[in-house]
Amino acid sequence: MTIDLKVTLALFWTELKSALRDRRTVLLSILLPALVTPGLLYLSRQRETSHEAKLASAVHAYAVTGPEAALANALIGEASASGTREARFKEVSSEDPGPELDEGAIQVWIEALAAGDAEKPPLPRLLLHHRGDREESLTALRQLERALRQAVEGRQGRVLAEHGVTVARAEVLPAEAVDLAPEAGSAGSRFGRTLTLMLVFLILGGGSVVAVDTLAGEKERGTLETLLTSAAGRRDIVAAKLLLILCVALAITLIQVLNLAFWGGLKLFELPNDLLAALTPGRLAVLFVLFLPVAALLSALLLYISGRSSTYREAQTWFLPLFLGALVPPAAAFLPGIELRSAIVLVPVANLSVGVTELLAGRADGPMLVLAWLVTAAAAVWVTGLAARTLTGERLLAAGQRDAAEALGGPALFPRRVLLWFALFWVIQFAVALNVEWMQPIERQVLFNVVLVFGGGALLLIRHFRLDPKEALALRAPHPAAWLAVLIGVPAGLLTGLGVFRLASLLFPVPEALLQAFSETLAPKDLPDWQMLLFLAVLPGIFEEIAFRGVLTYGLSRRLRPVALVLSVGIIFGLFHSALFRIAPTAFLGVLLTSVVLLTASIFPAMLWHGLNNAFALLAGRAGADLADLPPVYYAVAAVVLALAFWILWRTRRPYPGLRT
Amino acid sequence: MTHPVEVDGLVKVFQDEGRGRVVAVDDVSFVVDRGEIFGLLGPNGAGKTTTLRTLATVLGPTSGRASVMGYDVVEDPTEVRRSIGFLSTSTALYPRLTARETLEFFARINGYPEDRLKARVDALIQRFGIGAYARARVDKLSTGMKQKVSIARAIVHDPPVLIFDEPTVGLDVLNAHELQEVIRELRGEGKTIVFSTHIMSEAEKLCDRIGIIQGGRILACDTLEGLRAATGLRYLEDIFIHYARPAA
Repeated sequence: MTIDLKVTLALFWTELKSALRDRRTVLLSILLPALVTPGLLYLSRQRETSHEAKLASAVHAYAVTGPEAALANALIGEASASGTREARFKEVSSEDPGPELDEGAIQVWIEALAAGDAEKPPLPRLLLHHRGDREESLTALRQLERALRQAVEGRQGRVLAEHGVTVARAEVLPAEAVDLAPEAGSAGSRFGRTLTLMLVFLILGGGSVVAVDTLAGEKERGTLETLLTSAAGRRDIVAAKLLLILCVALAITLIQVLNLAFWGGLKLFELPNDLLAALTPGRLAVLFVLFLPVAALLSALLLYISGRSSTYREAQTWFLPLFLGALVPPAAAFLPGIELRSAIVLVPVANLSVGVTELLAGRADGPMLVLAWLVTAAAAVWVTGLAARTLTGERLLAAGQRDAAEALGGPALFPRRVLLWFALFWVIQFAVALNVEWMQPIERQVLFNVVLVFGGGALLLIRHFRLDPKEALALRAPHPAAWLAVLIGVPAGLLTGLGVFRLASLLFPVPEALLQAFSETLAPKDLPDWQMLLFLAVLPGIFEEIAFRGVLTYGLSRRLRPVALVLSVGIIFGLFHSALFRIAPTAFLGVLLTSVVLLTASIFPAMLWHGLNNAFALLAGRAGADLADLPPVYYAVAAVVLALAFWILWRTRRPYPGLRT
Repeated sequence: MTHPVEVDGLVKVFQDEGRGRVVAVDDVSFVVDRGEIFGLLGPNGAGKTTTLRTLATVLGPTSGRASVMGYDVVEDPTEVRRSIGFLSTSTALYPRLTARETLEFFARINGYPEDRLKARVDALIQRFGIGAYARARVDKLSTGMKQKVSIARAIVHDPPVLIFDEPTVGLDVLNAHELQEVIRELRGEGKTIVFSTHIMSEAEKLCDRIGIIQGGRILACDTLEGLRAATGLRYLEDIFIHYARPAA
């Protein structure tokens, strides 16, 4: 089936005409961003200016107590007298500064302790009490710290001068960074990292309104069925709609870029001086070609969610997870030590994000850039195919067709909603991990991600959809032989997975810096063994299994046949593991664990397998055994043993209830 | 090609995650001749819409076969759609296009020759009396006027077969009457018409032959006179109940 160009263009022009006549599209996609952007920039600039002015004129009130109060006042006085600081300070006499600090009468309370008060060092000490929840207190604290540092440096200088050292402090062993990269290269590298991210943001924002309208809106209005009964083929329809989203998204992106350039030219905000040097006309042309598959993929994704939705509102609810999820791959350019000549080249959008950064930094890897382009283009074609298939979806043919599952809700609706919920879990997990600094220690990450998001999320789903916990979590006793299979399967599975990973690394090497950084984050050296096993083996073994091999497998088992089910759960499990190079090995483990659940009809062997797998890997790492660097025969033997374990499971298999055959 | 429309042993099964296996159309067979109005008469959920959507290639059949003007709905869906005009309560018009733009657009995507397109659109605008509103956006038109544009849209490419799925639902008496007149005129022009309704009087007045459908199965199929003779009943409502009640 080919595309009829005449029909496709007729559809495209009509859709474009229709979209441009929609006030909502014009307002939300073009006018609003065009007006809001300078407004936001202006406000931001105004705020900055006013903040600077406020700082310049601010008088920070402080109180000093303690035996060394005179010393503190003298230091502040010296800093103020030097005239180099803009900030001004005013001492307020107070017997009990604590309440006054709480009330805001003073911004900082300096407690000047005598030499004997502290254990070490035996010198006077200043405690700067402040309120971290108040901006004025924090500002005063910063200004006081600077003033005190400056005064101390002044005194040091004078003492040195008295002893004949007249060299200025700044001249003692000066260290100066020298950037050997071309000027444009440094700017290009900085700019390149954010470029794809910014583009994804703009395309999704610009294309969303028209995308939601073009299929979900058509279903809601009833015009889709009119179109489907015309001689226009499904591919013609999808091609025209894709072209529409692409054109509108690119046009809006262009408008936004020109808008920013215009206001930047009017000095509403500062543009990097060396940016223009990095953006030569030749590079701009290459960038345009490189970004075409990114734009096509994003447009296809928008079209897909629009096609999957039966109403405008449903499409809008899908948009947020898509938007947040789509911002993750382009952020790959910020990974430490990442290069395009690695596994990243196989990840759509992320690969071009890294490739563009290298290109703008002046170290483009031509063959890998072509491969990256092809991978992202292939992903765009694949998603377009998925979008075309939504037009044959019988359930979504016309708006308002609520079938029994939607009307009844509960267990009947669960298989249809489970992926949406897991997409939400994924977004929550990543949004929190990326933005909440408190989550940095691995123990907190595990408690939040594994226990709260996976464990709590699974229980929430069971309650929300009124599922039978025993059924949903496969809480059944397995055949006794399953335990034997697990015990021999765990080390074999671990080694086989590492063998596969090693093979893949030959083709797509993972940067060593990335592996090292990740390894240190995952299992910090100072984490005791028992905590490492609890947080990284026991808890994931229980809660990740409840989520992935429990509710997710149960929900998808009503929709997918066994092979597709095992692969889907495995891949989804892999996608939840943040580092890109971990996706494949984790997906491999996910495939093994899902197979175990389907063959035993029980979650318990998978829990044991998962826990032991992680424990073996971590303990081997602590013991200094490099399992990923064994002679190849070990991996071959492991694969045979793994096959034996699954042979035992197969021979003693029990039917997983409700599995599609 | 023996008949413009042929349906033979058509089965359509939906796999619904909530309800499981749903047989919407169960071994339905009928043919329709040129210049004939064939009516599918049945209650809501009988399988009328699914049958007509399958005939229009919007849905794929589970088994059995159907053809329009000799084109198989599975093998040649594009040619099937080029040969039909489809109108139902769920086939709406693009609200932001004008009446003229709507007709031009559908003529174009249905492959109507470009050199005759303007004349065809002008003729339809005149025929349905929508000249005064031809440049008005569809969302500004009255319900009756929208219905006229919808019919013109369905026939703008001059298809030999017309499929009307409960086209008078939601129309007032006058507009419904006007639509019935148009359908008669189209039969007079030699069009083959497949028509579904749950309104007995409409089927009585319009249809040359009637297929009584319930639970996805055709329970009886004949002319009104034939059905009367077979059941000994005069009114179509009684005839329908005669067939439908034992099957319910």
